[in-house]
Amino acid sequence: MAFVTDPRVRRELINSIKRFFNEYKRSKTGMAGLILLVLFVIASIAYPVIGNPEIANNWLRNLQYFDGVYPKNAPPCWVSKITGETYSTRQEVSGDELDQIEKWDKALVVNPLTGEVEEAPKYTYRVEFEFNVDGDVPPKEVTLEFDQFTYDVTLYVPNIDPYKATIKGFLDTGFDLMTVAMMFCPEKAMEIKTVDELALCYYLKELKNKLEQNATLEDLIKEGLIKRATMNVTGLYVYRPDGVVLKFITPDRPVSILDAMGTNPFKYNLYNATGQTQEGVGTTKTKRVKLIEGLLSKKIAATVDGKTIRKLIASGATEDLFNVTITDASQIDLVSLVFGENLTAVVLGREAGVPALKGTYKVVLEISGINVTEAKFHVSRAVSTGACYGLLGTDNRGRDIWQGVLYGVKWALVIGLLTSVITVFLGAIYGVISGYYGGLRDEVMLRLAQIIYSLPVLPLLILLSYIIRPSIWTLILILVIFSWPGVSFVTRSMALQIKESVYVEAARALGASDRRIILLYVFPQILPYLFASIALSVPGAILAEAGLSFLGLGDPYTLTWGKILYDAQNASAVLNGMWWWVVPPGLAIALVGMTFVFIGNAIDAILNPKLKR
Amino acid sequence: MASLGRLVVVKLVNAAITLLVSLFLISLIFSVFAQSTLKSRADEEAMMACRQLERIYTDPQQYEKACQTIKNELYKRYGLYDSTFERTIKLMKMNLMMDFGKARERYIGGTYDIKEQILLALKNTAILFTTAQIIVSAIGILLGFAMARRPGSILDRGLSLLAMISYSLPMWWVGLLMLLIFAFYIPIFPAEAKEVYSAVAQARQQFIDAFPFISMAGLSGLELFRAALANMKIAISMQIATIKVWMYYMALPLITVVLVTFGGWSYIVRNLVISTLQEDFVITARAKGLPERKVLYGHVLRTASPPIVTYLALGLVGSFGGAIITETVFGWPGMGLLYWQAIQGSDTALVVAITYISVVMFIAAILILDFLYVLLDPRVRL
Repeated sequence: MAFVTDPRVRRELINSIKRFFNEYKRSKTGMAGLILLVLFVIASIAYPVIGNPEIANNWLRNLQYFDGVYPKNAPPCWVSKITGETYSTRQEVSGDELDQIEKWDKALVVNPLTGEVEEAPKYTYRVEFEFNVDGDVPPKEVTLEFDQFTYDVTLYVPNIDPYKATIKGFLDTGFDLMTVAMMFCPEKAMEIKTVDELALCYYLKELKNKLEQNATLEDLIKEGLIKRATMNVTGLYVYRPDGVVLKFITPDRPVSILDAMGTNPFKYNLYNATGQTQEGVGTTKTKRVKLIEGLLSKKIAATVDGKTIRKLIASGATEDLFNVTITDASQIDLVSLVFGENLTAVVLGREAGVPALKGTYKVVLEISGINVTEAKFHVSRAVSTGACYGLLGTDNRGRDIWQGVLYGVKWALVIGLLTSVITVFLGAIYGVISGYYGGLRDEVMLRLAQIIYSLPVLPLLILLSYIIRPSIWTLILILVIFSWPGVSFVTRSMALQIKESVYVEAARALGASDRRIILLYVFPQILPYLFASIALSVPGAILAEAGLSFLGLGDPYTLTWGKILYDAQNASAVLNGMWWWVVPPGLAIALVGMTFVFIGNAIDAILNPKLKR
Repeated sequence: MASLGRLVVVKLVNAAITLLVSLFLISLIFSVFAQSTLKSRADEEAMMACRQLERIYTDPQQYEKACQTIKNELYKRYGLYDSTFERTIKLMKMNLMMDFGKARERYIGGTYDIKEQILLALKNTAILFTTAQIIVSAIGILLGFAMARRPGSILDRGLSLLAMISYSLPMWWVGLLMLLIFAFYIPIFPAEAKEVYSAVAQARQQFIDAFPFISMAGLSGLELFRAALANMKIAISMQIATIKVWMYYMALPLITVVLVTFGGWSYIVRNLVISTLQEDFVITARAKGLPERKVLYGHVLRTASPPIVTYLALGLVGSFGGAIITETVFGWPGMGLLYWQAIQGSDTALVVAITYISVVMFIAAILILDFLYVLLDPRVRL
């Protein structure tokens, strides 16, 4: 604008701004708003420094990032200072600091194709993770993250299990072993003493049959007679601080303990040798073995037997209590068995695992395989997530709420300010043109504005969002389209007044064009009002976006406060008392809104002194 | 009176134009973006019908031909051959006639019919928000006048601050907080209001079981009168019991709405009253020696009532917007919850219908309050 370069005009302008600010300073809420605004702007600019952009980047796209590594549904750590209940804290150990041993041995196996005894390579991997439990509430998860979990399979092992199942089926229906043996393996029926022996005999007979029919290796695999060798978890141990050692097994097949935990990272790489690796799409290159999730799934048991223990306790014995197997895992809370302070009570089913036994725990995982060549296992990090997290806790996916709230500042400011600035200037230009020119043009423009003004915004917004799923920028555009008329009415009436004033008349007499009058005489007059209404229409835009996101209709690729609250609502955070998930995002919305209301009202009060009296 | 007639006509025409424009927008949005879903639905139905034909026709050529005919027929029925504009007009007509069709599920009540579901939901929304609006208006007028009497007092400043704060508070989030406090930490209210109907029915049944109505057959004279009186007593106390159950379920949403809106509302009343207080006739009234109460509630309230009503209209309509989400939070079986369920279930027909009904309600509310304004402000009638 050319007139600002005139030094006299500029001095006048600077003076009036100074006067305005002096008056503004007297409003306490106005200053509070200004300070808050500065804080919010700093927070959004300095976000890459004070926040963790990695968390925000993975928030919507990659939930795997948080899974098992951060506690889920964890309250903030400072809560323990109020409630008195202490929480275990998070510990992360990198793979280099862990005890990891790889070992190659020789083992003897039976070759299913020839029936001969051969020497085969045996691979063993063992990792130990020590972590501290330092609170009443035990850690939510203990995780081993593997970054290498490959092995090549070139050899085969007999697949006897189906045959064993068939025989067991007969036994279950009431036949005795002898009769079944006569059915499946009459030649050796007299010598057979166990199910395993019978199954082997039955199996070898079938195998011989197939080999006589000139079956190839592929045929045998296809018919399930032989299978590729796999890696097995041969041991999962927990060493408690009180000296008790727990060994975990699956009740039926001790080898597939990680399958039972639902977190077996290895099964995806069964066919590495043939190049058919089944990597999930978009997942990370690491696999995580989660101890607690496995324990909660109840498909694994510890090597302790409930009945025997009860007997032992009754007889007063306390030592070697746990050298027996708990066969019925569903009877005992396995998490309590690991962390519970009073083990006797836990085993008797009387007490849950809180408070936890404090001290150093050790988890040992042992993996081994025979007939396996070229194996490589490596844990990149081991984590005990603890039971509390950070400033504002975590949600049900383990995401740090504080980081989400911090990241949301930027988007709240962008949505609020962009929408209100465009809305107000568009409305102002419309109103001034309508009011200044008057006549039929004014009449038509006013009617149009009135129609849009009387449209119910939220239902239409919901319908639009429901059908087109707008991005954040489209949403801003839609909000602008619906909300400009409000401003235009006020600026129109202001323009009607101003155009009758003497100095406009003077300017017109001097031959100023309409454009010049509007730009240099009318607009500067309404500018202060515009600033007030920009500030006052920010909360509306933020609330609209938050509301839509809360209904699940927001931009699916942008993390906003409304979105966090949508997740909270879907996870029934309120009914679970997870205040740290519900309160902060809403408070943030309210605070940013308040900031602009305070500023807007302070400007408004200076412009409308009548209301103060 | 001629100007009054003209005013009414102008208002009606305005409302009609607004309604048509919004209806056009809704129908346009729907018909542009819903074409692909309609097409896939038509294709699906055509495939089903063709599979049936496969058994009848043996000649593949004949079968192809018959199949094509069915597909054409279905495309025609779904309006896929029409231009977007034609489809929009068709949809507008259907919406105007309130012909919404069937919903995918029985979200509320026992029917699939969209119109009946919406009517039921609308009733519940009206109960909740009319009650809230009455309470808020009363509180707002009282507090607003009190604030205007002593501007700058602690009450004035405190409530002005509260007004500013509640202007930027999401009502639905306050609802979440209320649930957290009064349904989780201090469980005195239900967390889900959806069961209100079954709870009411249960309460009524229990009441009937405990206090059965007295049979009036075969009675005459004084006995009949006594029996009728007793029955009336029972009926009244049953109504009271019903209202109690309603209030138990409605309390939390009601408190939330009132809490969030009364601050802003009193602030508006305060500002209107303050600008009225500066008028000459107030000075005259005071100079006459009228008591302050009479000045305020007689002269000022009468003068300030038209703009108060206008703001009331805007507030009502504004709270309706917030209501959609607030109802979802509490599970109150009204329009908001139905909206949310329709969105979650991708029930497009229902979403369109609710949007349309909301628009109609909105425009009707504004129109009614416009007329109320005319009644209150004698200057308009002259």
